[in-house]
Amino acid sequence: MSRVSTLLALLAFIAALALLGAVLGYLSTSSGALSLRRWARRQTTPPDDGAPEMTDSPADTHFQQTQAADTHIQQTQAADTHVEQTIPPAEQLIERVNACLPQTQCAQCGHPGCRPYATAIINDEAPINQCPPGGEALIHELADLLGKEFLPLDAERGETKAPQVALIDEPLCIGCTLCIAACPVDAIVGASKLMHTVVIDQCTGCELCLPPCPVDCISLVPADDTLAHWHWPKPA
Amino acid sequence: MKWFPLSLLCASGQAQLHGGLRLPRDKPGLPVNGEIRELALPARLMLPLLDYRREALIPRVKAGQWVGAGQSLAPGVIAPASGRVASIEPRPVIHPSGMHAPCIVLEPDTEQPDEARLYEPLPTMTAERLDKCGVQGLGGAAFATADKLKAIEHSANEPRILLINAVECEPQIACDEALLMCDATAVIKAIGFLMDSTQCQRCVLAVENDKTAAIAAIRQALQRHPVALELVLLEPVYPAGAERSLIRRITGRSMNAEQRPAELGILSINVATALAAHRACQGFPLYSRIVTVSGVGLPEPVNVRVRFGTPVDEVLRQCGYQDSVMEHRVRANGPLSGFDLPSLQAPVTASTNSLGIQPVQATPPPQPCIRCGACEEVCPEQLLPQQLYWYARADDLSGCQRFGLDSCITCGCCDLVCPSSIPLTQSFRHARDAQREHERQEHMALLSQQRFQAREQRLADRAAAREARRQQAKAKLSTSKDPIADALARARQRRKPRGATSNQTASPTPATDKPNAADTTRSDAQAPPSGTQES
Repeated sequence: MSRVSTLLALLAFIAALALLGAVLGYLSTSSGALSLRRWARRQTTPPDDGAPEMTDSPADTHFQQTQAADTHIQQTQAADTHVEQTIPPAEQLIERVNACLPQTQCAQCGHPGCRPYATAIINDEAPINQCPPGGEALIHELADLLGKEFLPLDAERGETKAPQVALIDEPLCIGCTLCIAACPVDAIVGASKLMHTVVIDQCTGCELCLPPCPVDCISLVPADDTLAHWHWPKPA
Repeated sequence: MKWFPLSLLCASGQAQLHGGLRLPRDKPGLPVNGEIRELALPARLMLPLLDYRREALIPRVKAGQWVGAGQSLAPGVIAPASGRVASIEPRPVIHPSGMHAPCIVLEPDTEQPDEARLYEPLPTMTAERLDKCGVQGLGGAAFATADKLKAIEHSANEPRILLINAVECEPQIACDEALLMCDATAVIKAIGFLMDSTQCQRCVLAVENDKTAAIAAIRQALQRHPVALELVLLEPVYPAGAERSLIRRITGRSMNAEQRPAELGILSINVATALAAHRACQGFPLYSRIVTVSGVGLPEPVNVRVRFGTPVDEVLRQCGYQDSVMEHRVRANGPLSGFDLPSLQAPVTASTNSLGIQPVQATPPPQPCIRCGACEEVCPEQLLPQQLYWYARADDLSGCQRFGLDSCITCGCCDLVCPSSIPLTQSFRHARDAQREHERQEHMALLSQQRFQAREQRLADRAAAREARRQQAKAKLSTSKDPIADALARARQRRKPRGATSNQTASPTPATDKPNAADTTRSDAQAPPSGTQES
């Protein structure tokens, strides 16, 4: 008896499995999926009084519309990201040129800082060989970047010097604050009628503080080679 | 892959070191009778105020002050003897540049007290105590051990491995070997203490397999003090002791050039550092190390215990170095990866593991590269030195990066095998420093650009504010119907003598919103600004 019941149970189990398989097979076909979706759509769409009951084809178009709306959203998203990235190409180029410049802000190029010079280069108002601190290496870099011909450094603008920093002879300083106003990178500290001093780590050695000093107490000295910045010489 | 008989392919269990050199075993100064010679104190000790990054330290003492042995003079700088601080001034330091750096000059007392416990013993190792006792890596880089410990404590998720490095692969350095032979018991005790403190799951002591006397001493000590450490014996190939390749061989995990062992949960320290850390936790600061002194002009190669700050010439003199007719050069930190000392007045520091005296030989002039590929075969980091060389020579930093300059450990193997005697290692050192300098300059440029922009912005804001004030004043004036009459009225008001009230009624009332003040002081106060803005 128990054997018969076991057999029956087994048969029932197999039948259930077959049924499940059939249902799954139906659903996995495209028509089955479609009809299921239609069914789901009917369930979710709120019944509209007065409106004719939705037939299959409007439901389909509605579905397509929502899909279209989805893609529209994606497109607007893409447009948004596009808007974020669209800095004008000229600005981008100016930034790239500015990143190459040495940022001494020395105005030896005839422009009031490195970024104005970068702007002038991009606007074709200045040649690429006007930056003495950058030297020939910079001219090569800019020529590569902008696809221009290499030009030797403009000698009228000055010559490339070894790294240097300004040093105030502090007993001579009268505290006139003229050098503080002249420093393009705010590297001089001090107050009216009090001694001024240069923050060596922030000084770019641009020499702009030299002309305004009424007592000539500022001099330029070679930037110190510290142990932390020392490097192995290149073998001959 | 367990079915694959990997063990049949590799003779030993560990991964093999790529390349490397089997150098003649030139290990001098081994203490036959188990002694490391003590040196007498010099007249002056020079203690550089530099950390392992070569950045300046701020001293905690003043010139003329008396200090006791073991007292902290600056962060990580310990007084090696009791005495008086003579001065703090620039002195030569042990560095290939021969540059001077601020040093504390200490004149030791003639009578030194016996080494005493300065702090209470600790049950476990703490970074604070290591800091206080000035424990630094004694393998050669002098990295602060407290920083390593802090880093390993932060990477808590990783399985912890304690790697004790006693692989002294460079010829003519034998200070760790001497330490193991003389004091294996203390080393084993220290390792046991470190294992408990770091709660590591695995502890490895790596030694080369040809240091038979040291290995025997370790085994003997282990029998007396059983510690669950793995003794890994490596083939004596240079540079087997390099940290990154050693970790790769022992744990099977590879690191890139930027990674530190602590990120993988590995505390990798030198064997002498392990002992120093244990002693620090027992209350004894670190102020001396073992130095191998060898080479020509010495009666015999020796291992000596040197207090930090002892000048190199003093060490050599006490080891019996005779100035001979031949010109010598003194090389610190091994013949291959070390550097020649420009000044013998430079003091011994925690990173000075050896001093080798070599006759000056003219280096043969470099010949063109013949692309033999010998350098590539010996490179332990599997780089292509011949390729890297071209980029380094052309100052092409991005090319150097592509060919793995950051991974180069400047071991000097390629130099040794190059048939054209090209100075490869120095080219790579130069390129690496140039890269670092380039990065520093870019950083400085970025900062000065930011400062410039901030200033421009500030000036523009100020100008805009001034313009706004001007416009405001202008607007105020333009509201009146007859500005000339107003101006006349203001002028009259100003000229009006104090106390004269009879004229007040006669003056025409201005059509402005400004009230015709009875109080003269107030109108006086208001008049000048409007007057100046008008002009």
